[in-house]
Amino acid sequence: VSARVQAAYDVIVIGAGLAGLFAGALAARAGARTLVAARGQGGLPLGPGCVDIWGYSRDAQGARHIVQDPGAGLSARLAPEHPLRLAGGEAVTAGLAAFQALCAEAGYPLAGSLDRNHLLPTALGTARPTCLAPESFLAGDLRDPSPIILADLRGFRDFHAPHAAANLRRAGHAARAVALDLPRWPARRAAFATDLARRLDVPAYRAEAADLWRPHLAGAARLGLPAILGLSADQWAWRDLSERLGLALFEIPTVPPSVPGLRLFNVLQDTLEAAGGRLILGPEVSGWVEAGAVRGVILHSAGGPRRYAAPRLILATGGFRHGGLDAPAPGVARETVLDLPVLTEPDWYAPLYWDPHPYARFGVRVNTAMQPVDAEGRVLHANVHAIGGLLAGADRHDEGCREGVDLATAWAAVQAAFGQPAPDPQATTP
Amino acid sequence: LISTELLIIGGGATGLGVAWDAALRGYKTLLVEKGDLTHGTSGRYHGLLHSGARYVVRDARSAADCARENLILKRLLPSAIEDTGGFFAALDEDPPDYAEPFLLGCGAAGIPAEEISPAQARRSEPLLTPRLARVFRVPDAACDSFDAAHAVAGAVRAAGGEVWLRRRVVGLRVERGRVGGAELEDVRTGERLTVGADLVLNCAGAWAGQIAELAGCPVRVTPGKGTMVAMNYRLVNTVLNRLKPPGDGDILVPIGTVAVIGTTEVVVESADQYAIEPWEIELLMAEGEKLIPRFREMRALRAWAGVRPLFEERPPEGAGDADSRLMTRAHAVLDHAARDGVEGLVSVVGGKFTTFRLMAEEAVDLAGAKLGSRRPCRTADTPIDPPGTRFHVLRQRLEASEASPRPEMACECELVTRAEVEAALEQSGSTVLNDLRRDLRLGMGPCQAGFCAFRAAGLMHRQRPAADEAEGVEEVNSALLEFLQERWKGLRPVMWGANLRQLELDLSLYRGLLGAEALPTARPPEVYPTEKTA
Repeated sequence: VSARVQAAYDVIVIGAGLAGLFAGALAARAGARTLVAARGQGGLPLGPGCVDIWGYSRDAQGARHIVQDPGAGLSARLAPEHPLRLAGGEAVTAGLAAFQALCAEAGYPLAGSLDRNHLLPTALGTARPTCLAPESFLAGDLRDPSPIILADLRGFRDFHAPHAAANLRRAGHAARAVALDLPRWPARRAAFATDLARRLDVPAYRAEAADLWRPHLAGAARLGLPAILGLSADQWAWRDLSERLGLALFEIPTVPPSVPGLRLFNVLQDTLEAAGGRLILGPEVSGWVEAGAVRGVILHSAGGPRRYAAPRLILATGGFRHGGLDAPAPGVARETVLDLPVLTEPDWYAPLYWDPHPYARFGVRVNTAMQPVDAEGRVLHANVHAIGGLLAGADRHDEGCREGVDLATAWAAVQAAFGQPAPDPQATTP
Repeated sequence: LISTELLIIGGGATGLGVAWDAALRGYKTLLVEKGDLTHGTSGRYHGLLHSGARYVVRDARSAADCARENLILKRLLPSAIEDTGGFFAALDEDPPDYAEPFLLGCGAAGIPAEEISPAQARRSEPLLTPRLARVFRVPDAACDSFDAAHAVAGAVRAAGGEVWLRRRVVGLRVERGRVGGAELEDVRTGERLTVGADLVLNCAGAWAGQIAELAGCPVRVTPGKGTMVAMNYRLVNTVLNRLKPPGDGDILVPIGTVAVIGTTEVVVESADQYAIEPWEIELLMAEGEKLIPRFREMRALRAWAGVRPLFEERPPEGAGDADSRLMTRAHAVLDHAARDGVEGLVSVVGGKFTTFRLMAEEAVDLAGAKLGSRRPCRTADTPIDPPGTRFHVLRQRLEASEASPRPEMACECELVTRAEVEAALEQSGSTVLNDLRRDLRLGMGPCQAGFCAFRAAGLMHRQRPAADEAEGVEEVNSALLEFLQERWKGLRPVMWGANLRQLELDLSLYRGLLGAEALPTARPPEVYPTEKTA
């Protein structure tokens, strides 16, 4: 590829999911000239907008249990090759704290700590453990015995309050469902989460909604709505509607597009850019490798390929869900930017959809500095760090550790990339 | 005691055809099926309405049967049959001496086979390989067996017959050498019911041997597994066949939005327990690549297997279990009175989807003779679809939803609206989301139920009567998890590339966001047999 070299950066991050944006924001805040380049928006718009650190453990019989205290003995729970273990207890604690501080500064605080998981209702009415959640989720906590009303919004297909309420009742919670109308919603118009959220960002629309809904909520202590209460991250629609309705209002995340996930995306993009970093979304990104040395990236866009040079590269391209890993044929896995070796096993899948699938742990192996290593543990590129969903050793579905891995490995990578020694994973536990 | 003249066992193409024929002739008719319509082999085939050309060289009778029935069904069932036409294409690697007996056979069976130039074939099918030696055009067509079965079941009911789903035959009433009815079990409630019948017609396909055994009649049906892969694209508008002796992976059928490559042929131990093996997928992808260059790089959406109910009273010389391709695809109507000394039982075995009407005609002719009331068959001239019915295509759904006052979509892939899901639930009363799939194509598109299963479960719950809600929610939860597990069965064999990406998304929704595996369920999910990858 012949291409002009664009501006040089101190660090280039590939991938705009939670790991990539957080790493980019940390680097930019530390004063590094930072570019985050990605094909798409990453995983935030697909997820619940919470931070799972450690949600589930399996006992000797293989039964899965909810973890109450995600931080306690985390390293004891982890296999040596688990990315949380490699990043180390310091990275988990400090990464989480840095992320919480960043969100709070942006006016979008995430509540919680490593001491105790929240237990929040899902859109199916089950209990889901998570470590950090936006304030607008907290009133749903299922440890609170007060009765719950779940509300359908007529025309919104991604929430079914009666089904969720029945499952909550089945689990012993006092719960019932109501159906609410959307003010002035055209009957033939599909109601999408983002569409509703933008409407509810308008104060006059919220006032109308509150007037319309109030008569149906007499005596309600707390009300659960699908997570559509505003896209803007200044707490927004949720706070205002809670006050107008005079009850504890909470959001329940549902299938994408995720409004709380998009709020986090906006917070991180704003933080990155406010600190002088740059985000380029859209082009295909490939590695710029010369004589075996990684020199930067090549962005492939309509105007042709362009090179961006940087002495450090952070790979945050995600796993199979996002294209950081690909399986071009049965039993074959590859890493898509630098063709790094991918740790696999002969068996990929379990017979039962719900069981842990071996492939979920496939990925790129790294050392404690998040540098990719080969099977013998030798560093492949000293100036490359791999983080997030790309890494081997974690089953994000089964363990409930997706965002924890993102934050801790991003924090550890930025520390290592800018000279701080990588902590010994055995030395500290959170 | 409920009694009927004819009791038909099996809700696949054969049983539905027999019930329709019998009801039209005015016999009191009841069909019972242990699962849903097309639960067995009819719902697991490649969707080809044979012109007969596939069989002309080795199986002249099947070829002639198919040729006649092809014309009749196109007339009777336009809603389910897309008249795509078919090509028999010889590649440069295929034996050149097959064309001659092929053409002779087509002539003998009355199948119009017109040779066209490879260039002409590629003009109409641009993805077709340039390595073409010869191409013949034949009147093959594509048939949606779910739609066809629903239409025939509707015709049974319209003619006064009854169709009962989810009733399993647990015994036949045999007294003094005569079958006089059957004992049924309601699969959902476990309730037992006895039905008296003047004659029982065993149309249980690959399970017909088990039914006949209940009356002590030995019927050896060989389960011939065939595996197919649906590609995520409608790669062709014409059925493509290889012009060579029948073999694995020699056919590509466009069905709706997908194209199905089939099939393999493996004799299996049981019609219920069989797995799709990695070599079968590898072989189908490799054969697809020969017909359509870059086939392997395209997304394979789903794989499935069905069991052909192969039957020969005396298997041909040299055709052991090892080579079931030598066994006839023709059908047989067995009168167990003459064959085994058991009165009141007729088995209809073998055959294929394309000839279901003919099989039914022969079976009900025999039934009439045995009942002592011969009445003429009317199916060949009785349209199943109302006049003016068009073949269903996705575009019509889009048009309908555009025109609907309630266009809310439950399934974007197949354009199924919430109103359609609600109507189908209301009509069937089913608590099985897989039934909705067969009714509406819900969950059959690229996301393989990733988004619609959650919505459909919510809609199903809304239709449960409030009174039995405690149990109701567990039933609905089971319906959701079973549907996802059922989808997984067909995804797992083709789980690479875009499918794995989709799986990661779907798992992050169901295991992560929705916490679905923690749902209280009515029963544990079924685990399907699988083969370990090498």
